Amino acid sequence: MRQLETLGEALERRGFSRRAFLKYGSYVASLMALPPSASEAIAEGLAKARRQSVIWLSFQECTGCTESITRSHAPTLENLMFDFISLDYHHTLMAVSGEAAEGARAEAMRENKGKYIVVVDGSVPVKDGGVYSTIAGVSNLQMLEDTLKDAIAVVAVGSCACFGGIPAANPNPTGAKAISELAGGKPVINIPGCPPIPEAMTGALSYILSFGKLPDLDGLGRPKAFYGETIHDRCYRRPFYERGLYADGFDDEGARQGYCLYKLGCKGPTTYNSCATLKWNGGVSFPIQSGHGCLGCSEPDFWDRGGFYRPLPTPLAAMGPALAGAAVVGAVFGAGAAVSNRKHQQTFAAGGVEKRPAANDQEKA
Amino acid sequence: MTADPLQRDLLAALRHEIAVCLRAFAETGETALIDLGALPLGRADREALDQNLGRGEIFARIDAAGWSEIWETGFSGVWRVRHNGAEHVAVDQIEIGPCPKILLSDPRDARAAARRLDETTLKPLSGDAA
Repeated sequence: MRQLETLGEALERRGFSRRAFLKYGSYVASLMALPPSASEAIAEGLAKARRQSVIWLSFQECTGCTESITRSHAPTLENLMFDFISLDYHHTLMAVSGEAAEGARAEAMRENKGKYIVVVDGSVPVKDGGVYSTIAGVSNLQMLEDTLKDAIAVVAVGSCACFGGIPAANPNPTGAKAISELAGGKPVINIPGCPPIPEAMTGALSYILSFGKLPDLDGLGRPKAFYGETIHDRCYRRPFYERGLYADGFDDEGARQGYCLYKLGCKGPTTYNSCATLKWNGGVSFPIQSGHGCLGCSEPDFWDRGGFYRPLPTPLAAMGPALAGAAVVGAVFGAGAAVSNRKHQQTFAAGGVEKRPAANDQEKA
Repeated sequence: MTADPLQRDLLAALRHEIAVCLRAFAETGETALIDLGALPLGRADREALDQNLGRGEIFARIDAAGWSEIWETGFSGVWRVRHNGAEHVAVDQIEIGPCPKILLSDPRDARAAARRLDETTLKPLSGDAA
C-alpha cells in the first residue's frame, strides 16, 4: 500500500467499495456498544485515515496474545483491520530476523516519527538491570524506552503487559512490571486477558484510527466498551446464582444441570471482561459455557488471588432469597443489560464520559 | 414466539420499539437503526423475532469483505441487515427506513466506476481493428 494514500483510496484500488467500510463501521460500533449511527462516522473516519504504523514489542510473554489476534485467517470482516494497519515490526511474525528486523523497527520509527502506535505484549523485567529478557542484546526496558520516545500511544495487550501477569506473580523473581508503570507519560490503553479477546484488541485500534482519540477507559485503563461489565453481569448462568442453585463439583448433578459455578471458584462476579457476550473462537463458547469457572484473567494479580478453585469470599446467604424466582431475576438481568447498553450509547452520543465504580469498589460491594 | 416468558417480554418490548420507529418513519421520514447485538438475545430469540416479522418482497446478498444478507420484513420499511463474519454473524441489525444505506451506491464509488467506464469506452474493442 502506498504510504500517502488514504485507506479509502487503497481499498478502492483493490476493488473494494465503500460498503466494506460501512460494514466494518457497523461491526466496530456493535462491538463497542456505540450507537448504531456511529457506524457511518467510523466508516468515514477510516476511509480518510492513512494506514497506521504499528510497532509490536514482545517481552516476557508466551505469544498467546499474538495467537489470539491472528486466530482468524479467512479474508473476512473481522480481519479487515489488518488492511488498516501496517505492522512494521513484530519479531515473531516478520519474515526477516536479526539486524534486518531491528532495522525495520528503526526505519518505522524514523519514517513515522510522532505518529506510530506501539503495541506491547508481555511484562518488562527491571530487576538487575533488566538482564532477564533481552532482544538483539538490548534489554526489554531499554527497547521500550527507545521505541516509546516518538510514539503517540501504547496499547498493552494481555495481562502481563497490563498488570505484570504471570511473570510478576509472587515472588516476581525478575522484577516484572506493567507497561503503564514504564510508559513515561505516554497514553496507555490496557487490553488485559490471558489472552485478551481478539475483538477487544482490534476494536480498540479501530476506534483510535476512526476517531483519532482513545476510547473511554475505566480506572485500570481498559476500554469500557469491553471491560465495562463483569462476566457475572452477562453470564447466562446468572439466574441460577440468584436462585441459589450451584454446582458443588465438576461432575455432580448441579454441573450437569448447568448450575452456577460460584462454589467451584468462578471469578465471574469480580472480573470485568466481555467473554460472556463476545465469547471465543468466533462466538462459539467461553470457559463458563464449557463447564469451568472464570479464572479472572483480566484482573490485576489474578494468579495470586488465592486459588482458582476457591470460592470468592462473598457470603452466599446474602444472595438468592432477596430476588427469589427466576422470572424476576431474568427480567431484571435482561432489562439491566439492555439499559446498560443504551446508557453507554446515549453517553457516547452526548460526547460525555461515563462513570462507574472501579473494580475494587465492585468487589467490596 | 419463544417459550421463555422472560424472553417473550423482551421481544415484545423490542417489537414495541420497532413499531415506534416505524411510525416515526411513516410520519416524518426519520430513519432508525437497532443493533440486536447489544441486546441479550439468543439464537432462538432472533429466530422467533424473524418469524414474527416475516418476509417481504426484497432479499439481497452483498459480497464485500464477507457475505451480508438483507431482506425487507413483512412490514414495509422494516429491514433486517445481517453481516456475516468468519464463523458467525458479526453484525445483526434492524434498519427502519426506505432502504438500508449499505445497498445504496456511494457517489465516490460511482465516480471511480465512471472513470473506469470512460477508460474502457475510449479503448477500441478487440473486433474494431478488423
